[in-house]
Amino acid sequence: MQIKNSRQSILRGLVLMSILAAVVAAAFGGLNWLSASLQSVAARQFASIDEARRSIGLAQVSVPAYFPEGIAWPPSSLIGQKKPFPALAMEFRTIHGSDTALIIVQHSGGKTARALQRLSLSTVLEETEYTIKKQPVLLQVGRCTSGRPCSQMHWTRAGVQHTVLFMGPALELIRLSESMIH
Amino acid sequence: MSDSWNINDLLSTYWGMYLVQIILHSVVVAVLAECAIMAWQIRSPASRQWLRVMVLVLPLAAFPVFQLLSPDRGTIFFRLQSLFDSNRLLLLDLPGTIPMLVPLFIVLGLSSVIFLVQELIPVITNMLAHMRGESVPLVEKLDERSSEKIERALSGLSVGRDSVEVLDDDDLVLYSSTGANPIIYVSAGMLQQYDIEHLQGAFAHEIAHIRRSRRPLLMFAYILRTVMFFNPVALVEFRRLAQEEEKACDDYAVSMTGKPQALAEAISMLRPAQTQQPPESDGKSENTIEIALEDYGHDILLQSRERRLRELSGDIALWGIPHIATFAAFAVIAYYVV
Repeated sequence: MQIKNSRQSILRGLVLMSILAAVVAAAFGGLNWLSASLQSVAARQFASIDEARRSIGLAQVSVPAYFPEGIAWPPSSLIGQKKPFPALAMEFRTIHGSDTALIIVQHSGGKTARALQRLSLSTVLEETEYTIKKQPVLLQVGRCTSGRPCSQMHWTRAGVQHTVLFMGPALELIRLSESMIH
Repeated sequence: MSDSWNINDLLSTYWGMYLVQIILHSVVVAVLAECAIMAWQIRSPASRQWLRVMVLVLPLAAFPVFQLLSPDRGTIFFRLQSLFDSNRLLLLDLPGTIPMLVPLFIVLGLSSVIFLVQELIPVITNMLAHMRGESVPLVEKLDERSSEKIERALSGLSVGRDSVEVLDDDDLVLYSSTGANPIIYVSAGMLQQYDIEHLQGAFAHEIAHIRRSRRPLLMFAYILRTVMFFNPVALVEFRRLAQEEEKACDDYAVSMTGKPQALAEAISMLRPAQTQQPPESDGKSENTIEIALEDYGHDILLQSRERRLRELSGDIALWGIPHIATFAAFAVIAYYVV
């Protein structure tokens, strides 16, 4: 009899606890929605580069004039934030696939672009510093967190840090980066 | 403006995220612990204590574990899909372009000051006083009646007469020291006003403190609370944990004496005679109000202990299900609170 009562109490408690936990989760969700509605300064999706440029407050947003063959335009994802530091992350996919093939991150402030990249360089096999149109750049070749070979170019211009990650040959990345540096 | 940006930058560092998530996760687990107490109507102080310990342990452990399981948790992509992104709230500018982070830092600062003034400094002062051998004077020659009263109260409690010292104080005072040679200190005033059954209940309560100090849950909780000195949720939960300890010792005492009513009466006698009201600031000095607030808080605790003993009833066996459910709900919700 006592065990039966105990089981009933446990079950009743579990149902009540599930409801209360759902209410707690909903309260956090509601607060999240409310804060986003008040001011849109934290990370969010943008529909176009122009909209992002207007909202974020980055000194400059560079878009490559050259794209390696097979990369789809427009960007598949455009995420930016005004705070804690202005940043914009553009992701591009291949024309015939769903995998991310190119990531361009531009930010002023913040130490690294890691928090702005869905994929990043996990193993550096080769690293070279040189200049493109008098702009010092760092080229790194290695493997990405997805396990695929990739290369990354990094430079800082007018207080804005640029990181371009490409899942393809370094030569194409250099040409793409050259088209962004004026 | 540039200062405000520097503060904001803190939020994107590992330690900044850890600090913010400790506070947020403390709120999550504290609310869930209250939900569990409500859902299963948990009355057992020991069971409640474990829930309170979870409030102190889980927020400290959660962030490193979550980051280890999912290093992408710090990225903006995860934040976009999260249940609650703290950046959305903390990066808001209040009227006059004061960042929302400023009130947060004020709360953390106040919590740190309260910890320092009310918890750390008194502990250090007491330790120093103990090391210097300062203490309330003891009664050197105890009258026969009082001595017999102590012996009769101690009978059946498995503690010898030499474990009790009498303080030369007319107020009602009772406490114990733990360690290798634990001593129960009782005031002469208490010996006079309490009858044998009241004294037995009071001694049994102190014996419970001594025995439970060998399972140093409170010490462990105090260390965690010290680590989280800035966390207002930890401040509240640690105090509630200490209050549950008193109730756990009441239960232990009743299991030794079998007389809950006698212990309830003994507790009732510790309360001031008049009905306590919340203190009001009618021109009193701040110090007086602070003391009145402390007394009021103490009286509330005594009142709840007394009421509980008069209506003493046990929990049905729950086999730790509330704790497991609280942990599971915390893990699921807190993972998506960044």
